[in-house]
Amino acid sequence: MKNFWTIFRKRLFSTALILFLITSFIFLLLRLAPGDPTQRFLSPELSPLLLEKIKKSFLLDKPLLEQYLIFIKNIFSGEFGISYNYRIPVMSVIWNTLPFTLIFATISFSLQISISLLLVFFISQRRNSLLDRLLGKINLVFYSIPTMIVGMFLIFIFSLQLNLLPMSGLHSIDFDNASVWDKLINYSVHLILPLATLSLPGIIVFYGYLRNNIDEVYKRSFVLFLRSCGENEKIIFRKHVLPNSVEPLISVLGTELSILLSGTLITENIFGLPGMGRLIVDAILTRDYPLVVGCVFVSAILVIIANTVADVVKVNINKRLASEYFE
Amino acid sequence: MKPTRILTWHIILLVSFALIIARLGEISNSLILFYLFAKLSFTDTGYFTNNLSLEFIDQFLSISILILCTAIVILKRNKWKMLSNKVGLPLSLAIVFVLIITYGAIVAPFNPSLQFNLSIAKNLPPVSVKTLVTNSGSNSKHSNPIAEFAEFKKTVMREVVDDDYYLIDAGGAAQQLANGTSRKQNNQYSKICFLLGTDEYGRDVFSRLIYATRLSVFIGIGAVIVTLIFGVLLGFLAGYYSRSAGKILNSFTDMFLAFPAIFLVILFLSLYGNSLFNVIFVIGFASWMSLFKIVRGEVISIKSKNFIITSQQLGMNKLAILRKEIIPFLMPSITVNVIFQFANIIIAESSLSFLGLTGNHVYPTLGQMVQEGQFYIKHAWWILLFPSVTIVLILFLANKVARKLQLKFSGHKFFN
Repeated sequence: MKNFWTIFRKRLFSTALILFLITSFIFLLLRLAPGDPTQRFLSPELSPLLLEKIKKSFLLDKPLLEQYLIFIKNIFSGEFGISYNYRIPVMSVIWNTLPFTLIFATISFSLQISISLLLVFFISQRRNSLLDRLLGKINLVFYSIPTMIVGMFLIFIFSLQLNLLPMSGLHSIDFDNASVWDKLINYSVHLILPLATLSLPGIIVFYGYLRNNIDEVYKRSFVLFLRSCGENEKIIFRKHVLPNSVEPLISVLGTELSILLSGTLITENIFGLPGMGRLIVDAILTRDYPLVVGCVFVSAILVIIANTVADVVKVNINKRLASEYFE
Repeated sequence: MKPTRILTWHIILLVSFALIIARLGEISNSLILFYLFAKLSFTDTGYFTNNLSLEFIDQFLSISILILCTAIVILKRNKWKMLSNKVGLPLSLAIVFVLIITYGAIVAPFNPSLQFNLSIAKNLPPVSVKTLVTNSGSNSKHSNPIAEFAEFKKTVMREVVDDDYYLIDAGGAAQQLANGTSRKQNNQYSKICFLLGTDEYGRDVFSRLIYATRLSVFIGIGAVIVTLIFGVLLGFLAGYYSRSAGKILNSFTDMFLAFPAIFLVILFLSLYGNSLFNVIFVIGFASWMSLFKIVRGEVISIKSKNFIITSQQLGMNKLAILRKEIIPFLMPSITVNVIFQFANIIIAESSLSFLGLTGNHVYPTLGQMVQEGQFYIKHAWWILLFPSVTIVLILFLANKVARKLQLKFSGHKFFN
């Protein structure tokens, strides 16, 4: 935790600057774009006075500079205004959907890490066997396969052909009068396919990285030294090879989160799940300006936090890197 | 005799000749069509502009590329080093793929938006054979060149809906033949095979797939060019002036990296319209960051090398240094990165189309085909399966080629 705050303090200024620039950029992009968000709420037959009134209530009647100043003032007080569509503060709209996306992404992320580690652990004892080579080929073919194709494929097999798992939604229709235990089972049954969809590409990529790194590490001379000392092969792998090969993986983890966020966007759309990805797309398509800015702000904060955490983990694993942060 | 390896030109000639033999009728018809078109546009005012459509240009370009490419490869096969490379299985697959895309209009048996009569052609499974009725209109003797042109145009490029061009199933054919009372007199019956089936509107999936692959690859290449321009120029600036402007540019890039690019793309497309140009520009603009980082890092590291300092002191300006000294030096890493970027852009484009954000162009894209297919996943799996397989195939080939190049340039394998 001490490390986290030190790194965070180091990054505080640039983080704040980046956040400010992103939100200002989005704000300008939204306001300078052609089109009018008020048109959705009014038919052209109604009086222009009403239009003025709505514009006034959305604070769109003022000149751009004044709008921008109000916007900045609101950011510093943590207010993003009131959503045009939902008519409640933006933050509470986001709070309704954010927990789901966070939990979903976290579970998927831990699944990706643990399954790829387990696979590598399993394969490392059978290097250059038939299974290893087969996995290598599969990995090459399905490297960076789009999320939606995985989703469609899984739906086709597991819900349409085998009729095992539900196709979409978070829970079934008779959900409300079930017991707690049934609710939990219902949730998890509905989440199996989305989780698999989101995790499978990540597992493939991580496995590829790890497998390659392990090969590289086994070529180094300290492995030879340990073997000549008569060290157990399992201990060599667990204590020396694996920690050395995990390190390049961790620097990818930070960017992995932004991939994960865009992955949840597609997954939520395929499976009809109530998450932030769908919220953002809906907000953009209906020109709900305050909601768009709020969502972008929150997701930028999430990515920045993830990058900081990745740095902390990296420093904790490899102490030599620490000098970059604590000199 | 030594067993000879397969070379590049073997594959190119094989595909080209197979295509010429298989589509000889269409090619000769098209050539006559172009001849008539040229003749008419000299004699008749306004003919040129009235009849020149995208499909016409497409057909013309495909056929001329096919003929030119075959001729050049035959002539230059031993002289150009590029044509006598040894190729393995993935690389030869990639070559076949590229050829099919460039020859697209000839490979595709039908117009991608040609709708057959729905009563028979709706959602046909793959490899289904049907009887095609073609009405050749009046007799083939034409006194009027304009009518002749129209006739040829009709045979080469079928309209979206055509009364003289319809399918009948086996029972219907027998009945028509037995009665001898078809609608018009000179009907011709031929068997056609829908290799990959048809979709909900009775359009041939195979033809659509070829055109879609072309459009997707075109978008990919366009976006990669945008990426290259932004990434290399900005990377060079940031690396060359790493004290002042470089810092600002670098934090600017961090800003772009800080939040998922797909949101930015969706925002831009929904606000500024989703024409083809916008799609290409914005996807390219959303993915120049990794190239920027690579170029910047390398420029900083080679800036103080002797050959750069020498060329500076010889009085070369910045652009000349970039063009003559730095870009050749960075070529390997840029090439590999660009091919990886291409794969990423294909993914981005197909995800955007899947969300329904890339508008309707003249031809469909692969993502749009997947998106259309998802509604028929239960009854007609082939509409969904083949575009998906094509996307995976493109990604696989791009990654494979990139890794091959990486291996060739650096001598050892590494990731990113």
